[in-house]
Amino acid sequence: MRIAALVKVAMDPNLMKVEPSGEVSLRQTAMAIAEYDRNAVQAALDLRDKLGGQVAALSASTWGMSSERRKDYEAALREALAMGVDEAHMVLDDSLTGVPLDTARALAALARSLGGFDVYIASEGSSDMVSGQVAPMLAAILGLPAFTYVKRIEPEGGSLRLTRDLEDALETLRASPPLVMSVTGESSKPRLPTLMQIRRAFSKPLKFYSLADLGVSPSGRARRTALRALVQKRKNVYIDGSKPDEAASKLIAALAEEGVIRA
Amino acid sequence: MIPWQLPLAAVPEIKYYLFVQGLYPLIIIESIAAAAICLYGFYRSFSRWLMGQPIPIPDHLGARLANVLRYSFAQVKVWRHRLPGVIHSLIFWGTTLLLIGTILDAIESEITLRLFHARFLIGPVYLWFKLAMNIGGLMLIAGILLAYYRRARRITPNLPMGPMEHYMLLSLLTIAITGFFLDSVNTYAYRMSYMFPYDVVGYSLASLYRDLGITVAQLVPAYRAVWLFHMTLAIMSIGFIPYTKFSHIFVHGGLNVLYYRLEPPSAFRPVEDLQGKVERGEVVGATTASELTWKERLDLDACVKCARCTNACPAFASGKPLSPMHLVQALREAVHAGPSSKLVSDGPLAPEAYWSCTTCGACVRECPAMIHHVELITDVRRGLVSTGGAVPEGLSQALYNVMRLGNPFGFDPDERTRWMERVSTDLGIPFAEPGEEYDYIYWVGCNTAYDPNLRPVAESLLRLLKRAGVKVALLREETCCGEPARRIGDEYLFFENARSVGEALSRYRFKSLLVSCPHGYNNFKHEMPLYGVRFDVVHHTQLLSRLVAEGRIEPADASGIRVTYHDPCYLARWNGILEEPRSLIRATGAELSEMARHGADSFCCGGGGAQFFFDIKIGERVSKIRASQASATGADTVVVACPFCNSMFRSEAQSFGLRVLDVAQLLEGGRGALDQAPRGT
Repeated sequence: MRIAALVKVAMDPNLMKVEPSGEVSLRQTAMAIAEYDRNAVQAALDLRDKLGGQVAALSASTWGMSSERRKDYEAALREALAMGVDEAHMVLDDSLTGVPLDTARALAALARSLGGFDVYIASEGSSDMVSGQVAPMLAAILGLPAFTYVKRIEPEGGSLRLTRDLEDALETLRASPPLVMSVTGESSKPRLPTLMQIRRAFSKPLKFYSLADLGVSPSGRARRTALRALVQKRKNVYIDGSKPDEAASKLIAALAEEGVIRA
Repeated sequence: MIPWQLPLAAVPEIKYYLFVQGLYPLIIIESIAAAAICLYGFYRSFSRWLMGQPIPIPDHLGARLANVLRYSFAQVKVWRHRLPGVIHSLIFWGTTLLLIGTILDAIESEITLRLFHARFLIGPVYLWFKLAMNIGGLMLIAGILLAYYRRARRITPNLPMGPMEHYMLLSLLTIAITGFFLDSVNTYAYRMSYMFPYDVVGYSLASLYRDLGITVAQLVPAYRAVWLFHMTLAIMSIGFIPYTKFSHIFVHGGLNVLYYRLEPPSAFRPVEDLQGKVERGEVVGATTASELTWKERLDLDACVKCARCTNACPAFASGKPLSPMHLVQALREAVHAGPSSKLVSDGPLAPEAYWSCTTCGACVRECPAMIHHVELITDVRRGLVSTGGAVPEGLSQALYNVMRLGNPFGFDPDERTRWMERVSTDLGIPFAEPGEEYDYIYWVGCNTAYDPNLRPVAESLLRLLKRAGVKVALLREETCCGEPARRIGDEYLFFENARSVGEALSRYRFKSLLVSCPHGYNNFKHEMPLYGVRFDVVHHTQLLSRLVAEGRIEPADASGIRVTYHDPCYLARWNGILEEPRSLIRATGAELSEMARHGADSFCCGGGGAQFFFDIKIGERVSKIRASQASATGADTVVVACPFCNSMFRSEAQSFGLRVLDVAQLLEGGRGALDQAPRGT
């Protein structure tokens, strides 16, 4: 089975750096595999272990800076290779700016140029932009069915039994590849790669492509105009805790005053 | 007749074989068989240890033989516990006396007498010889009886008492008792006139035969039977040595002491050809019996199940699934089962057993057989990490954080920089610049640099140094020192990290690296040098006690206050730094109440060995046990010298009403520091 894991090299929201102007500093913010995309990779690896075949990581840049941060893109994809992915391919192009449709078109072109896959596994959404649109759009472009929020994947003969997590209900479907799915963060417990695994994965293929290489261009239907950090103002109210009874009533009063609770 | 006037002719020519004619050839055959059985046993042991590798020739023979004197003959580690020390010495020296006597006797009758018709055990020498043999026999019997008493009364917890232990004690006891009987018959027959009081036991028994009117002739059949039994038992016990716990005489007393590491035990053994192993995709560490080193396999066979490790182990005491003795025994079984047997399975070899270790080294300090449990555990952890085995999630995350962010907690490295910049401005401590020369570069360490509760320790220390006029600088490039990675078992991450730390530090000129974390201290002092990264390093308690002694720091007053001091494992036990922190506490005038387990016998706070980064939710918290021990001293303030210990105590402080302070804070603030640290924070 040929399996594609869609991996986004995302800005790490925990390490976000902000310019004095309030603009997110893309140059200084650390990048990493989007958190749930590790689940997509893990799901692909688990499926490969059950059915045999190969897993390719497919990626498309969304933050530009293709030359100055190429190393960071590379490092993130090496982590996917270290986790056990067989090869990695990335569309790295400054004209890709994170518009989901453009990302999906680039990934579709990349997949086609590699001969197509039986199963495409994405995550439910990237940790930096969380649009959740790329997987369904990719399915639409490739003319494949899309299954979102998959929590469990079980091979059954030639098809797959998929369990979708609908928050208050679980839906079970039987689907035959080729197909596209997105998995939830609870779908697996991905193993973090060690430095040694990364070192050992250096011999695995890692290839970069431009949009021109793949013969596609951005749709031009949307573009990002600003990315500003949300500043949460805190009131920093301290309540002396040396006398617990007093502290508790003061805390209740303060919270009531803020309208957080009704006293 | 006075014994030393005995003429040579007064002692019969042939001494012993009068009653046992015809049995002697049997003994020769038994001896040859026993020798063959013994040699085969040791051949098997050696093949198991070496697994095809050549036996290494020991270097530094002088130092190694000194170890043999110290540990095998003086048995200083056995003597760490009084009663077992007495028992073991009675049995060991009793048996040794008897063995030497028997050998002398054999030399006389088989060599000097047969070949030269000459004797040396004559006259007064013979009498003293007899006395020595009597003492040896009595020591042996007393030792065995005490051993049974100790085991029957369960004086030492967790001490196994199985068929093997009974065999060891009963075989020796039987040999000693039958030996006395044989001796008494000989004395009765030939030596009654001159043997009192030298052959005290033999003579007393012989007198008994005389009083009861038993004749020598009546005793002869019993003598023949007992002689055969005594000889067979003695000879076969020697033959079976490699298959019984008696093997410890050679495996532990001989080999394991001879090959005992000459480096400090906390210079945990590095992985040989690490880079090559990484390149070739080989296992780093050990997952199977054959991947252990030969010395580790030897270690396993040296164990005598004395339970000292287990009784000292904080993980065991807190109900974690780790008992060092049972782990060693189970590993030994694995090695005996063959080279490909797995080191991680279930029971005592469950992954949780390996992950429960705090690497505090109490087992290593206790072990009289010189086993290095922590290295065994570390090697198996390395195996688990390098093969993607059962590594707890929290530890994988810590490794990933060290690799990506330079600290095990996952904090943004900017937080460390921002705090350092603030300290630099507020306290006037510069960042190290190339070209400038400093007395010390202060390597703050991740715990202290990120934890708002611990940052005041560093600030106290820096203020003290500033006042003392010490030229100290902070390091902009400070990152993880790599210690957590090594404890978890990611040797490659440790290696790469050590290389970059080495590179960063080599840009600056300084006399010593100053650390306030004993884990960093051990790492810089003993572990990084294993991979060629060497810097002189000093712990803040060492530097501060020097500055106080030189009068460059005026200790603040804490008189009238009772404190207890918790020795960090990596400072006290692994590195022997016991006095400096105590001298600082005394210098403040505070009254120091010691916990029952203190100094090099300290009890871990529960934070070492990467336990800080995850929770094994089994049993009690080690930190809770230690906090209750601290509380039992009656002092309400625990003085610490390690950020890990500091945090662990803080987490328990509330329920025990304890205040937690670093030595530096006490030294700077005295009583005031205590007031600023309310109980339970």
